[in-house]
Amino acid sequence: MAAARRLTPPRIPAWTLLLCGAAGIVFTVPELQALLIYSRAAIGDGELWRLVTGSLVHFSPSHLAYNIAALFIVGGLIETLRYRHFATLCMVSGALIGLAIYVGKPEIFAFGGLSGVVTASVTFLCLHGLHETGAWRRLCQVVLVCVGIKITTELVFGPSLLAVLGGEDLGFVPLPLSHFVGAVTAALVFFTGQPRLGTAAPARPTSRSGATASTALGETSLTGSNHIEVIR
Amino acid sequence: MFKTRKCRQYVRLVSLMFVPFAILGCATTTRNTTSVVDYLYPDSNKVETPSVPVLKPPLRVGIAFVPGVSPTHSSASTRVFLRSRGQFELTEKKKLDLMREVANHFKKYPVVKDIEIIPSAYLTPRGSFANLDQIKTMYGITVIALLSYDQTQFTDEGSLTLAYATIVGAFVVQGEKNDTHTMLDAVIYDIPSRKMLFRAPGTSLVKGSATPINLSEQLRVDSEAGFNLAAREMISNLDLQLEAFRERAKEQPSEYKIQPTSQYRGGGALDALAMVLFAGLGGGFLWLRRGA
Repeated sequence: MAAARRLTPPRIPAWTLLLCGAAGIVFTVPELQALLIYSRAAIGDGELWRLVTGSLVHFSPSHLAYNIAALFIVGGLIETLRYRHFATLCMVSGALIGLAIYVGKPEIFAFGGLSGVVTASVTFLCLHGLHETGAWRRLCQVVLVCVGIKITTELVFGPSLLAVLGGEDLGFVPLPLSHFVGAVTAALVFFTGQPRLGTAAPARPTSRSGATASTALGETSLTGSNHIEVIR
Repeated sequence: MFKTRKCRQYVRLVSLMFVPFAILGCATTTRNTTSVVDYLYPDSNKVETPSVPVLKPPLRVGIAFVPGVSPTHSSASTRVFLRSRGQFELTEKKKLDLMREVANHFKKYPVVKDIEIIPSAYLTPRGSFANLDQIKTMYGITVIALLSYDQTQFTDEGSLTLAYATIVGAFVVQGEKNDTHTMLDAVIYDIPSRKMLFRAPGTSLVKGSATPINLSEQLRVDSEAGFNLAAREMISNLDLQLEAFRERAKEQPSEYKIQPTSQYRGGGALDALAMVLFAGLGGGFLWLRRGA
């Protein structure tokens, strides 16, 4: 197992770092914020990129820190475990969140924040985790259920109870809709990426090096330099 | 005795001969107007210097009709009877209906948080910005839409008025021709800075006719129709002017400062519960990896 870990070098979570870095840069450059923020009026004028890029803009240091920390954990896990379509997920979820707010929340003039993309990522990660084995699978099941309960609670009772109890003036209205849309997008991307019934088994845990969550967790046995057999 | 009777008959005859002249040849004008300038700047010697408005959307906006003066009525008429004058004044109910129509239209805009309809009784004639400051405090508004109007009704007679000589004709022949010209004007002011943000007018022309008996009723109907049409045009103009103002504010940030408040924008935010969940997921992964 030690040999296996040595043979599957940790992958740099490039997309995660790129997204976190971009969010950080946008936060520090007001001109970029103005150019990228979800602005209802500007979108109405045809600046459609704002539907996607709005998620990169944050309104306060704590807003940025929370979202980046969460994305770093979840995105890092997705890329470490070499689940495919993470970049697609981020793009599609960003666009659909923007679109959902534009259609469903006309009273919101400006929107920013990566939490919807983070929710999409964690849902995506946990859905993949359901295909794994052992404790990791159970952990993903628990987190998925918790995320589901949290989104439902937020949608029914409004913004998170903890946020309300915290009493902190966030400088914006939390939008649970973005989390819901993120989760739905993750499910769509996940199931679209799955092989259809009757086709060959997936090359899951698909990656150039053939590593899986199980391999990452050490539940593997090596039968060759490039062939990994998953022990079920 | 005989002479007296003869004299009375003569007077009656002469009177009847003058009836057509009495009911013909009449043109009246009724003007009903209110003015924002009179209300805001009653003292022409006092100069109000506007400052740079700081708008914090979503805005609480007030809407009110500025108080006016009594309608003026002028007549170039030989008419002495048969005709009742149409002195239409915009009633409080009608004002509230019009303001409600405008308010309902503008509630859809995200920049508008709330629209307060302010009854006329709260605005004193020539009250100026001191009165607006009182309203600002009472209603918690910062921006106000002041509505004013100018309605002029002209009444002329056509050739059909000859039928009035038959007396019955005055009840059935619609010889009174009315033109009702209306202008409704909305001026949007930022109260703290005393700055006019934009304005939008709406105009209408209603033509009608009536018998002299129901002339005043018809004038009221025309007047109301004129206000309704002008209000519709004013609302569509307000849409355009609001858009133009948005552009202007974008291009001239030194002239208008826009500072959105927290309710104006939404954010995708994670709370402590979510952070615990994600940290648990990451920690669990590391723990499982180490234990494997």
